[in-house]
Amino acid sequence: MYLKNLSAALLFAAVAGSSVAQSLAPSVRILLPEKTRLLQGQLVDLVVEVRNATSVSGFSAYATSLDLTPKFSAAAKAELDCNASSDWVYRANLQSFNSGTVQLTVRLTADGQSISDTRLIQVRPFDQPQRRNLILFIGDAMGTAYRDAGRLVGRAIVDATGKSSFREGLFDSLQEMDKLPVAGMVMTSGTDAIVPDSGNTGTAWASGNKTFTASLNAMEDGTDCKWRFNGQQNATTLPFILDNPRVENLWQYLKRLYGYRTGIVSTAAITDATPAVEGAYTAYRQTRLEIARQYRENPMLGGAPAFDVILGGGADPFTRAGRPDKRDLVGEFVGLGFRYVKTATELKAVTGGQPLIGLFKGSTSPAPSSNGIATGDVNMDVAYDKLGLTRPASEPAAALGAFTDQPMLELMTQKAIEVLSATGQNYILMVEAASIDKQSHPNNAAGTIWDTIEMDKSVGVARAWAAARETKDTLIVVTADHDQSMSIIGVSNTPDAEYFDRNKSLNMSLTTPVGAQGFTVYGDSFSNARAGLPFVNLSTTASNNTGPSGMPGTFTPKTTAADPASDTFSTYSGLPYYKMGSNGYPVNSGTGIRRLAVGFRTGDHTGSSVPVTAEGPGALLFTGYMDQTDIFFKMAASASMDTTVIDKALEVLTKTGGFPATPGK
Amino acid sequence: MNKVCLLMGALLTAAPVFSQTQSGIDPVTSFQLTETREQVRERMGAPALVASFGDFESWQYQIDVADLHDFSHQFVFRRATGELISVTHTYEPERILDALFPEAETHVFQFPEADYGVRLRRLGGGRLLLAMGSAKVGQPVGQILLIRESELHFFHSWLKLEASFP
Repeated sequence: MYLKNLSAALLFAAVAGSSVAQSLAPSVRILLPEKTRLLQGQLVDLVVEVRNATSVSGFSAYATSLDLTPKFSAAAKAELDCNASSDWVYRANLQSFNSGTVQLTVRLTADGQSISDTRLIQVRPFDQPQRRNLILFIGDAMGTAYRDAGRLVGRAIVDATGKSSFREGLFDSLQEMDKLPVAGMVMTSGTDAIVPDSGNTGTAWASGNKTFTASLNAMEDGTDCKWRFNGQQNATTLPFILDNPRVENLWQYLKRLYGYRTGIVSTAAITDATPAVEGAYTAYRQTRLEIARQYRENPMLGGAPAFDVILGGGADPFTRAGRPDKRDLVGEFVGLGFRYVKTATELKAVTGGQPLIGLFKGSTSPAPSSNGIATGDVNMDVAYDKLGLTRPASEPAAALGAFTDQPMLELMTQKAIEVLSATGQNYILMVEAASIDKQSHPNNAAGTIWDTIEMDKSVGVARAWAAARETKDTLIVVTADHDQSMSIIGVSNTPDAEYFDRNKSLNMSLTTPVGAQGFTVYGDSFSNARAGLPFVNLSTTASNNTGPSGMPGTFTPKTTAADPASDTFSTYSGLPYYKMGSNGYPVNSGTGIRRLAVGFRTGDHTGSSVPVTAEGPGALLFTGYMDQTDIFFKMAASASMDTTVIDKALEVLTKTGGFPATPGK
Repeated sequence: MNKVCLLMGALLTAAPVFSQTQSGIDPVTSFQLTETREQVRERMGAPALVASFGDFESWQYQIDVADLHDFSHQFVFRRATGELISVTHTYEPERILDALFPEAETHVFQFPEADYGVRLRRLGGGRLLLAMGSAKVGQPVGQILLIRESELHFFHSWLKLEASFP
């Protein structure tokens, strides 16, 4: 999002902003958060803003006792806060610190007054580099209900004899992501909102610090007023979008200092926020052209490419036709030794360690957007459509267009790992199942659940690869960036005749303070429940399908059936079961399918914490409640600390100690 | 149903202003930039998001947009005075809005550092109407900006009006 978190924002809208209070007296501010945390050697822009001063002099900057003053540029006039005050900025780009607690202090004289500001920065060590591969899976918006839904569909399979793999409340086999031995919960708030987006959450786990909605590895500054809240994100304000203080992410950090190979895989447009936080630095996530450019010439790497593997959708900003500067970024990557693939067939044929860029979907005719900073951002199609399944009536039909040969996420994951590992160097890889989120926004249950299953298969690919290695040197972390509002509300035996009938619908009208609003409920609504209207259960006793007091659809046609389970217009408390298709995914049609019913309170993100599971060296670090920024530091700890003791403890807890184990795990 | 459901939240809070054209092609142009917060709320409904930044407050709406990552309308007030200083309307998809920019009343400005231009028209009451990123007749518009002339230089200091409006 963007920039909106509609429902939550309605409730908690006092968003924030800024910090740049206006006063007449001169003031100075270091543009780092109060609780800034860094790794030893991690690059960060040090930016100091001075307000309400016609003249400044005598600037000094110290990191504890180390004089940083020579690192800073001379004072430059600045247009802060969009007002008439006289303001200044000092910059020292791409600085770093040794480990320990650093007190950053700046002092200067402004209009004859001495002013100062300080920050305490916690700098963690990274001084025992380990032999590690790091694979981070991000199920975009994959909160607990999404994990549950993936399991309740993908692991509730009925075989030819009628035996279900989900019986009496227990699974024969949990999901791959469930099988990781360590679990925790991740708090996701941003600096400006409790309901975050993929930009500021990505910044948290990629660079270890909080920022504001839609920002990628960049902190707030005084020129944000020119573009951030007034819709003026365009070529004229781009300099003010790119001047925010940057913090280096773990991908560039490990590549720059420790020779890691780096990769990103996503089913989104590859310049979307979640993949972009591993390779770009911009305060506005929709600066797609700039993000693609930074992939090619990364500012933390002296202009070298950010990655060794790039796989995803969204070809447009890499093409000459899609860019106002007419650069052919794909051609430039190829010129630097990258192999370029465009289809699943081409991807399957990839072998060896040659750097790889695969862009599997784009516009038919790429063109720059009129704002001058973006272009079409075409995501890959969702698993449901790539598999050729028929969408439920209320979800859009597949529209693969000319891109009929797109890879599944598990193939992309497999090839990314093969390429990255081929040279024997350490690597760090992010794999994103993007459309769990993108399908949840419009409440497409099938779209979002099958993408969750697709991601779980990708986790299985990584687990199998790591397990086959002689040295257990690969940390796998599976989490989400933020939650969305889907809930598990029961099951439904809605038959195919209802589920796929695009004509069977019920038009609803709602009187609101701003006029009558209408919408349509389709025949599949009970196996795919929506939140067009708030669900209200006024009953004080559990009941199913009893009209206005029933669950979940107060707008439903009422039934007189005595047995809710026999009624096609009902959800009820039973167990779902699906059949396995020949492609290894559950099918969602056929006689006797009892479908999972889910409801969406909104079409948007929520502020709930999200689960994280982990396996491999250092996995035990991921237990308990944690902040999202901890993901960054824990992955770094796995790569820089001897984890033998905690790894052994985990083995005792889960394998050799005789402690209880969950069935199916 | 998807799109309808998707828009329900916005529709519930959006205003009748968008169901009736009050001033030519885009009702936004009927705002005089003298409206109070209450008057904006009466016309637009409750905003989807309210953001405070420095001396400003932004009311943000999401009406008829396909991209969940952006707002369709932003109303910016000065917090201290409550003055409405600008309204931005972003279009998806872009559209031809030449009727809002009669050639005789429109000036074209080219941003010197990129291939990016705007059409600018002076409306009554100290208001300016800009077609952002659209410098030519017949060129689709992705966004219009209605802003007080007295505030323009704080947000778009590159636009030097003196040459065109001596």
